[in-house]
This record gives sequence, C-alpha cells and structure tokens, in this order.
Amino acid sequence: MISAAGPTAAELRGPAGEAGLAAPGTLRALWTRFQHDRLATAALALLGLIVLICIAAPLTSPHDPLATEAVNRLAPPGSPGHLLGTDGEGRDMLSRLIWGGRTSLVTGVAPVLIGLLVGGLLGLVAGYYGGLTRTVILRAVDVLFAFPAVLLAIGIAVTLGPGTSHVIIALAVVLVPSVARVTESATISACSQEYIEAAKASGVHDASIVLYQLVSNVASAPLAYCFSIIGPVIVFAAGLNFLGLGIQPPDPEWGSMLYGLQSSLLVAPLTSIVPGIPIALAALLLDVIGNAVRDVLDPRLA
Amino acid sequence: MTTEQPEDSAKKPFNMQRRDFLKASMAMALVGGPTLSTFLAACASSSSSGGRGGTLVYAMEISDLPSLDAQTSLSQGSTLAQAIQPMFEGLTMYDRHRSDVVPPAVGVLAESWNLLDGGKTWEWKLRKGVTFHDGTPWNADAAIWNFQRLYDPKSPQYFLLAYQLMSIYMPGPITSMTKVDDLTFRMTTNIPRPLNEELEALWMVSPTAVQKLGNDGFGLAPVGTGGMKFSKLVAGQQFEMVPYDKYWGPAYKLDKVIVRPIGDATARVNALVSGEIDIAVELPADGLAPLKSAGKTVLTSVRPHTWEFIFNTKEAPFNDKRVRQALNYAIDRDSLANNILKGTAIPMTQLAIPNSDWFDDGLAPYTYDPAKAKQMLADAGYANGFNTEWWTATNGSGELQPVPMAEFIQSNLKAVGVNVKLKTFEWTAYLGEFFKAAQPGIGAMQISYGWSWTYWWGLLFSTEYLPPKGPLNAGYYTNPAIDPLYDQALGESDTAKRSALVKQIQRIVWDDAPYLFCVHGLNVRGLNPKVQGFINSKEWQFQFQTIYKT
Amino acid sequence: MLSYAARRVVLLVPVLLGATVVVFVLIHLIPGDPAGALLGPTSSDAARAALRANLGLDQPLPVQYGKWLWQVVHLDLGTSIARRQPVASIVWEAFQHTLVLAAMAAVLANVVGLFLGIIAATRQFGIADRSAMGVAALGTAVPSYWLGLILVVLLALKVQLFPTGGMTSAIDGGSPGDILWHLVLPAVAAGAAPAGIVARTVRASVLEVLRLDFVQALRARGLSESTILFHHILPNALPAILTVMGLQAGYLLGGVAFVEVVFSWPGIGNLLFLSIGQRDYPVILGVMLFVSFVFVLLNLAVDLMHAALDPRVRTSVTG
Repeated sequence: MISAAGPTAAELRGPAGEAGLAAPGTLRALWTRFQHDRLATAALALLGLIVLICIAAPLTSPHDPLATEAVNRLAPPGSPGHLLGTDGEGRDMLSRLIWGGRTSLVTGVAPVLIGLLVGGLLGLVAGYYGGLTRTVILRAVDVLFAFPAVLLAIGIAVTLGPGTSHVIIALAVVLVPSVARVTESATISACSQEYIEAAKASGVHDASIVLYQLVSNVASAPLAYCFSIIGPVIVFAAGLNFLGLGIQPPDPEWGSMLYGLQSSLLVAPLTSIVPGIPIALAALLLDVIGNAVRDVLDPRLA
Repeated sequence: MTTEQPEDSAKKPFNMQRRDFLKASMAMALVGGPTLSTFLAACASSSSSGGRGGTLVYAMEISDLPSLDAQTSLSQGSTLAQAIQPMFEGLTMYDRHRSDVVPPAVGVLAESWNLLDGGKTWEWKLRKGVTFHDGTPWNADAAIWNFQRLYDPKSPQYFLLAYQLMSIYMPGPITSMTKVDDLTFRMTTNIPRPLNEELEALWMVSPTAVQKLGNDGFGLAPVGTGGMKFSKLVAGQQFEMVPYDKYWGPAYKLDKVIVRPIGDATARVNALVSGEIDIAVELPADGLAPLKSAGKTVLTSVRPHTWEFIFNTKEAPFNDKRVRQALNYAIDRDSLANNILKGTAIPMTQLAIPNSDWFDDGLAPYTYDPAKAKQMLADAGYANGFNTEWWTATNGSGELQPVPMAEFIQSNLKAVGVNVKLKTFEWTAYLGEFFKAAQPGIGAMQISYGWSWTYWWGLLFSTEYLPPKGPLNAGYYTNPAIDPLYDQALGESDTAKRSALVKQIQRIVWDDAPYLFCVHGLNVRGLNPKVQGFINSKEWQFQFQTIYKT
Repeated sequence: MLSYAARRVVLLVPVLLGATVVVFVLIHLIPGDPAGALLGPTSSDAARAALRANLGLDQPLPVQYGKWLWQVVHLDLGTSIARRQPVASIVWEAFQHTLVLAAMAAVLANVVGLFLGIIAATRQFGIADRSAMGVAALGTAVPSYWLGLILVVLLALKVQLFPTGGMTSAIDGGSPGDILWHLVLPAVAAGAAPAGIVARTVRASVLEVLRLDFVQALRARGLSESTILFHHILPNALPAILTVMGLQAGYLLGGVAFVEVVFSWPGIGNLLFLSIGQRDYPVILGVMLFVSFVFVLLNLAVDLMHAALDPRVRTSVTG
C-alpha cells in the first residue's frame, strides 16, 4: 500500500548488487522458473488480457461509453445487450469499464515510470558521486518523505486542479523519493565492487561508467521495487479519482465510476460495486505476479 | 409517485394570498400586516392532538458546519437557513404552517407596518415583549442595529460579508432609518420596494451577543429570538437547539433539535434508512424506493422551483438567440424528469409551475426535437456544432442531482453537435463562483431558483439587477422590453392584471431563452414515521414548531 | 544511542524547513490570485489588498516566504474561508479524530497481521499458509474506499449492526462505547491493507529465524513448539516486525483519508476532502503542514525504536 513512507528497511538492504541485470540467457532460465508457478502464470495471462482489452477499447467495447439510454438505467449485470448492466445514466458499464481501464491503468503506471526515471536518476547520481551531491539529493528526498504519501498526492493534485495529467504528476512526485532511496543504496553497494573501482582508476569517462557498468548492476533493485508498487499505485490513483481529483464527467475511470454509482448502492448494489472489481483485480494480479518474480529472482525466500 | 399532501387547495392561484404591498403604498394608507391568525390557528390545531416532546435529528445537505450566523447563512444557499430557522426570526417570514398554498410572508417580529412617502418609507410596528435568548430586548434600537450591520458601512458593526450575501434579496440602499418610539422605526429606500417579501430571509441577531463575541465568535454561539435557542456545538459534527422558555409565541413541542451536516445525498438516505436521523430533504431519486421499503415516509409537492443552465448571453455563441433556442429543442426533458430523476421532478414547460396564476396556457413548451435543433444551429452558422465549457455544482440546496442531470444533458447536446465540457464544484464553492456571474469563456452556469414572488422576475431579468449589482443574473441577460413591464407589475394592485404583466414578461423570456430550461423539482422530503406534526410546506423550508416525536 | 538520537533530532530541522517550502510552493501553484484563493470568492477588494500586503505578495519570493514562515512559527495558519475559524484549531480538532481512527485501524491491522503471519510461517506451504497469505493478498489489493462501501451496504444497511457514518450518535453520543461502535467499520476498511503487509512481514521474518541453527538446537532439547515460537523466534524477529508496524501506523495517518470520506469520519482526510470542494485553500495547506510535522516526528520515533532494538542500525545510518 505505497508501503508507508517508502521502502522498508529490508527493501533498502535489498538484493542490490548481488545479481545485477541478468544476461539474456539467465532471463530465459528465470522465465522457465516463473512458468513453474502456475498461479502466477495464470495471473500474468489474465492481466495481459485485461490490458489488451483496454488498449483495444475502440474494438472491444460493445457500446459508446458516453451514450446515455435513460429509460434503461441501472440495468443489472447480465441484462440483454449490457453484460455488466448500465449505470445511473443508462450507459453501458462494460464499455465504460473498458474505456475507463485505459485511464485507470495509465494513471497507475505512468507515475511509476516517471518515478523510476527521475528517482532512479537522482539515486544513481547521489550514490555514485557521493559527498555534497548525495547530501543535497537525500535531504530533498527527506523533505518529501515528511508528508504522508496520500496527503501529499492529494495536496499536489488539488493545487494543480482536476485532470488526469495532474493526478499523474502528483503521484510521480510522491514516488520519486522512495525510488531514489532504493537506487541510491543499490548504487553505493555496486560502487564498492571491484570492477567499478578498477574502471574508475583506469580513468574511463564518468558517464560511460555510469551508463554501461553501473546501470546494469543497479537497475534490478529499483525495477523490482517499482514493479511491486504498480498495484498499490493503481488503487491509489483510482482513489484520487474517487475523490473527484482526476477525470471530469462524463469520461469514465474506475474510481470515479465507483463514486458516481454510490447513490445507487441501495437500489442496484451489484452494478454499483462493479467498478471496484477491476481495481482490486488488477492490484491482486500484480501482487501475485510480483511475489512470483521475487521468488524467482531470490530463491532463498521460496 | 410518492405521498402527496392534499392538493385541493393548491388548485387555487397561490399568489392570491401574497401581500399586495403596492396597493397599500399607492393608497398611502395604513396596511395592517397579514395577521398571524393562520399561524396561530395551525399551532392550535396541531396542539389539540396533544403530542409533544422528543429529540429530532435533522440532516442538512451541506458537508460541514459553517458559521451559524443567520445573516451570512446564504453562503450555503437556503440550506443552513432551514436548519437555524428555529433560533431566528425576521420582521416578516413565510408562514410555513400552511401546506395548502405557497406560504405567504406574514409579520413575525413586526406586528404591522405603514407605508409612507409613496412606498419608499416603511414604518414598522414591532412586536412587544420579545427578547433575544440572551435577554437583550427586541426593540427599535435592536432592529436599526441589525440593518446597520448589513447596510451602513459607517456603523461599527457593519459586516461586509453579510451585506454581500443578504443584498441578493434586498439590494438596498437604505437611505435612512429613524426610531419613532421604542417599538416603532422607519426605513426609507431609494425606490418603493416590496420589503415585506424581500426581508423575510433577513433574520435578527442579538446586538449584545455580536458585540461580545465578534462576528466569527457569534457564528459558533448564535443568539436570536426564535422559539429554540442554541445549546451546543460539536465542531464539524452537529449543533443542538432546545426550547427557549421566554419565547413570545406558541412553544416548540420538541425537547431538542439536533442538526448534522450530511452533504452527500446518498449518505442522507442511508442515515434515514438506518434510523440515525429523522428528517432529510433533497433526496436522490434512487433513494426513494429503499426509504419506502424501510418504512420511511416520503413527501413531495409541486412548489415554485426551477432547475436550469443560465447561458452566458454576453458572448458567442450564446449571445445568439437562435443558438439558445436550438439547445432548448435539443434536450429530452421528459426523460430527464421521469428516467434520470424517476419522477421526482416534472419537465419545465414554462418558468411558472402548473396551477400557479402565472401559468400561461397559451405558451408553447420547447419540445424535444433534435432535428429542429440541428437546423436552427445550422441557420445560426453552427452546422458543425461547437465546443463550450459549462459549470455546475455537485450538490446543494434545490440542486436535485446536478451531475447525472448535467451528464444527461451533455449527452443530449452531443447528439446535435454541441460538445459541453463540464466543470464541477462543491456547493459552497460553486455559489461563490455563481455570485460572481459567468466568467469569460464559460458558456453556461447551472442553478436552481425557488421563486415565489413578483420581485424575483426583476432580480433575474430587469436591467437594474445586472451583475454585479444583482448577482443572480449570472448570464447577463436583459431585454429592454422587460423593464417597463416589470415596473408596471410592481405598481399594479390588481392581482389578475399583475399576473397578466408577469405572463407578458414570461413570454419574452421564454422566447429569448436565456436559460436552458430543464425541470421543476418536487421537493422530496424523507421522514422517520415517528415524526408527527410535520407540515409539508410548498416552499423550500418547513417549520419545526409543530413537530414532535412519538 | 543518545548521540544517534541527538543526530536524528538535529537532522529534523532542515526537513521541517523543507516541508514549509513545499507548502509555500503549493500556495503559489494555485492558479489565480493567492489572496483571492486564501480569502474566498466573496472577499472584498480591501481584504484582498490587506492580505496581499500582509503576505508581501508584491515582494520577492524569499521575502514572502520569510513573512509567511514567521506567521507559521506563531501557529498562525490563517483563517478558514468556509468556517471563518482559525485553521490551526480546525486542523487540531480533526487531527485528534484521525488519530483515533488510525490507532484503531493500526491495532486491528497489527493483531490480525501478526496472527495471520505466525500461522502462515509455522505451517509453511500448508493450506493454512496459503489461505492466510491469500487473505493478506486480498487485504492489500482491495481498495479501502471500495471495502468501506461494501461494509456499509452489508453491515449498516442490509443488517443494521453498525452506523453508516460519523463518529458519534447524534443523540447522547460521544461515550467511549459509542465511538467504538462507530469505529468498527472504518477501522476494518482502513486496516485491511496494513494487515496484509504486516502478515507478510511477520511470515518472512519468522521464517528467516526458523531457518537458523539455534531453532534446531532448541527442538533437539525437547522444548515445545509454542515455547520456541513465543520465547525464542518472535523476540528475534521482532525488530523487523515492529519497524513495519510503525511504518504502517504512519501510513495510516494519511491512508485513512479515503475511508474517512466514505464514512464521513470527521478527521483530517475528510476535512481535506471537504476543503477541496470548498476551495478552502488555507485549510488544505494547513492540514498538509501540520500533518507533515506530526509525520516527521512519528517517523523519528519509529527509527529511534528500531535503533534501540537493533544496534546495527545506529552505525549504518549515515547523514
């Protein structure tokens, strides 16, 4: 759950520096090992399917997600022509979930990618250069850690005003510090390894060291961390939309659909809780996959 | 539909009962205030049933406890006024003890009044033996002090925020105020005004208490003259009122009234169903079936109420009458009222509600005709439609279910090529924006009005009340043909003739279509069946005096 | 330990100053005139001009920051637009309510998490382990606001066991029992995710200790499994568990926000939500500033506790 203020102590110690980014050959071996976990494989397939359906919304959605059909409002799931029923304005739920999934998934994944890029870069720079650079970056990171993640994201989203891009920015700002910390500690332990010392000593240009040696050695820690938070961030992003900070009506999004259907909870309970299912499902599938990936990378825990 | 109160008497033109103030002013004769007979009769009739007592929990449809100062309550629309109404009284108030007609304004803290000086000066005779809850006597000094707080920038108690809000109903200026004797004072305005109607929402606060606590402090411990006094505030959660033992009028029957802010309409339904609250208003259409199946009482009534989008007539494309009319042909009001709102509203076929004496049988409604709308848009040069941004509240007093309604309208308009981008605001914030009138680039602003009186037509359509002076005309609509008709209507003593003039105004407005006319709401109120003595008034507010619980 | 603590406390100063900078920047990110935003749409031109002068809005940003910081240091967080009361007192009131809910949710999460984690670890790979971890996974995945809605429908409306929202009953409310009754549903909704995280941590930490040689030695000496678990394994796994518990408690301070909105719990999350709707910027910024201070102190407490329990931390933490 945006694991509190960020990575736990255990995560900070992390797998850094041990394996590094696996070579292509090992990747295949890992994939084979992953496939042994049938639950995780099924989860991956299902998640892949959901993502594909959402991406292909113009092809997969049975109706126009904005077309209202007032005489046919709050139809229960299973109604003819409306597999998951209709909402309070008579719009097809399935179509809205599919189109809304695009927004929900993007608002969940984009901040993680931005956080990975920005936080990763900051962490790398801090860990590699050390000294004043590191102090400045870590202090800045500490300042952002001074706010509970949820409230900081709400605060930023509010001041920027409603809009999907603003929610993405707000979440990215919240994620940067934890990614930076994970990357920084991974970088430090990677830097202490001999080949980097050797490369430094031989006078290779800084940038090339960082790019070709360090990144491949450091990347697995922030990557693993970022992968583990995609699910919680999707839940979090939908929550901000639930609060009305993101998308504006009538465009669909899972969290805002859930909020919009609150008034129908008593008359159409099934239809009204439907938008929560994909949020929870996406988070659950990502969680199962994440656990399997961790087990594969670090067999000790299995 | 839901339980209707007896409608027989509603067939009468309700405006008959209104105070004919100008008839009086022309005669420059004494006009006795409408007596409290109906008011007292109602009390007597319900007290004959003998019931009393109980603690009532009322949910207001805002999310937060704002300042409880009666003179800034309009910052919440009419919602807070309903809740604090047991504590406060004005010179006049609507007589909400009646459910047969739209409540007329009757004298409350004023026993009667004289009109002098062609109607520009009102001489108020104040009720005797009235004290505020803190013991401060109600007299001419207290009355003048209250009006100075609102209208006299030079007085120490002048309160700008209160002026800004109350001036929506009575814009002023008050040119002079003089004390005649302890219980009589005169008030002069620059033009003749129907003050008995305009001042009904201006309630009196204790000068001593305001001086002692300051404006903000007074908002936490309000003091009025009403039959209930403030007893307790739990910050952000609820406030409580208990009977005032020195009340001049018939005693309230409840032992206590507790008011909780529950801004979310669904949450109000839930709280009613689970029995946490006793009365809530403005309930969503989807809440009615669960309420009834939980054994709760649901009341509705046709009352003066309109729900509309006000076009920004200052700018293209809505400065073009053809565009405004076209959009009025593009929306399916029947479906809006019967499907989206499940019959908790009726389609607006004109501004006046059916059965009112302003209702014009010869006025053709805007039908649902998208083809005609498209043609009209094409004639106006918008064959390919256009994009526009509209603002609406998400909740609030009289607002029904603004977001689903706006989304439905949005989808109707999309079908004729008009793409509306909606921006939504919580009620309090929205009102703040609305009172500033439509910003450049904003195509329309949503609002609902509860107009019972002739002067509303002026507030909304006469040139005199263009923003910023009259902050209700958010779309800057005027038509020079309306002004003389309005002046004439105000000066007309004969009810039928005045109604004819109002109908003429309505015809102009209806044709000009400054609004996207939508629906009349049916005033949905939900009650715990233990609530007795509730009078389903045909007005936004109801009164607490006759209510008790079994 | 003392010098570590002192070092950590000194390090707070720049962090807290930084937090004020963040909030100050947010004030200036609000579109439009900050004075108008801080006083609300019905404010007078004169009042706006006065505030503009007071905040020094025509002066360079560092000067403005200095003036504003001076007010903050004096606990002057401005006045709420919607309630016309000092922001500091509104936020303080709401914060206490949040604390009650967060504490209840934390207790619930930790007890349930501990229970699930121990069951799972001691029966690794068994059905109990799988179901406990399944529950934990569900708990972390289900959005708290969704769970809250479902709980309201099932346990407050269909079966009227609990109230639908609020913190106290309207009539004669406010007794500890009454508050507890109102706490149950929101605490469950808010505690589900942290419970899942705690359960996983407990499982992992206990398993780590279980692998150590001394456990085999204890078993060989014939000690009962429960003695081994409670007297030897748990104490060894405790530092990691406590850290996660502390972090979850900190998380809940903000994390209960969604649940507060669903249940109209009068805490800071709900206050923030209402203030967003009302565009009550002084309250929004006041909440953020106040909570950041509390949060920093709470994190400090967690770190110090961790350090006291696990001496390695004291040396490993660098500037």
